[in-house]
Amino acid sequence: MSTQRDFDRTAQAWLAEGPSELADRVLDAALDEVHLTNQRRRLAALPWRTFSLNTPLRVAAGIAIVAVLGFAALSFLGRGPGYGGAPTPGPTSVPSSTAATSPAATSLGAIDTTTWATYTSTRYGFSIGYPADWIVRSADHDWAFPADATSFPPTAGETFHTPAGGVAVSAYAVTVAPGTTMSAWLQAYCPVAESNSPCTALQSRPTSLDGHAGSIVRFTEDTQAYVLIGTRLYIVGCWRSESDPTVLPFGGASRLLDGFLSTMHLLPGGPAPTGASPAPS
Amino acid sequence: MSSTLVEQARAGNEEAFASLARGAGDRLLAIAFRILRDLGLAEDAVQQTLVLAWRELPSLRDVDRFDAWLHRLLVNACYRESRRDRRWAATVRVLPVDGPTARDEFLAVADRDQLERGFRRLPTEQRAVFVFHHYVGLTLPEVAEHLGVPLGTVKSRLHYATSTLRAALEADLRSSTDTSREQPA
Repeated sequence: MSTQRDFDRTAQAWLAEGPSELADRVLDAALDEVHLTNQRRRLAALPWRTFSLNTPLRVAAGIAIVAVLGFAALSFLGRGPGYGGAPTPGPTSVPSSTAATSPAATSLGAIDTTTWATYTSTRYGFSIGYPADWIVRSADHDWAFPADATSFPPTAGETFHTPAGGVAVSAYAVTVAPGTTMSAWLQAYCPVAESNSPCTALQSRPTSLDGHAGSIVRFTEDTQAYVLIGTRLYIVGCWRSESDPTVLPFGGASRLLDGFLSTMHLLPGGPAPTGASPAPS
Repeated sequence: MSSTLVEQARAGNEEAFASLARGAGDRLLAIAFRILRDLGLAEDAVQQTLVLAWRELPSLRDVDRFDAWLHRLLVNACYRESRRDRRWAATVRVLPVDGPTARDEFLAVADRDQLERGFRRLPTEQRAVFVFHHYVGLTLPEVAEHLGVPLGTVKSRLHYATSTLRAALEADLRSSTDTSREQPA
């Protein structure tokens, strides 16, 4: 191989060999899946981001959001029960107080998980319940940051989705550096993965996993629960925003996540809890 | 690539997206195969790419950058498939590729084998740069744009990939020379 030009010519000749036509079955399978997949839409002015609004705008946004939530809830409730035995909220249970209030557990109580099936993830060391009629997609590799942070739902997650594919929830875990806090994690994660979401003053509320304290964080396009146990961060993500119409039958993404978390248990052989979990960021 | 089709697909028109997918499918498969060197993995990568493209299309701001954006999704899918491939590499035998090929008869068999072996030793990130430069024909700044990495990184990856493959070819050449010397007169 005397010159760079010789090498380039040889390499190009070698690269020219090989298939160059996509089989129809692959294209058809992709388009079939596309048909069942909703596009991720930007929702730039979500109600719970009222920290950035002044008072008159907050009042106006509150009225508008309450109206939208009420209309959407009524529309969905007319279709019968929600997936997997999730209680169907009545019209009066939709909050009407402030724009910042979610339609979640505050007034609906917990999701009924008694009929849910159980999935055991030996990869991540936990068991978790899911609505029995949902479809399970097992993780195909260990979740890693940042490679898997921009995939929704991540193929590295144990993912459960509705038969029609409208709502998906993934659970996975990642080992973080000792001393990592939730704030530090979010500072690193948010700019990479949630490019459409403001990464400061994110709203969160407490939750728990198998007795360990954690937080549910609302991003613009999805909602995720984080429970940090020692250096192991457990993540359960609902790939919809809190008030996306597809999660309204469950009382919002946070309430749906609470349902999953309430069924989740760490396996005895899994990572042992070490010390107290940090406060929500 | 039609900007109108991209705009329609971005707005949620499945038929427009299907047209885009049909138009891009062959190219995506060809690139993915050349990065992954496995038809099954390449097909999986393309399928993932198309579904993800549909899902994330509303986030594409500039429709004229659709091709570069799609390539980036494809390369990320190849990275994922490559990780999956490594997990199974110990038990899975790579089968000969079916389907249409454009074989260059003038490429020496030994060169072909050495390139194949050398290429399989490269990290997927270096393979992607090599393929986009030598197969797709992009300039290095274009490769940087399509892969979403700095130009310096592209140059570095191409340098290491080229060095590895040249070394593989030259080792084969030396081996052939040594063998011919050892033959009895």
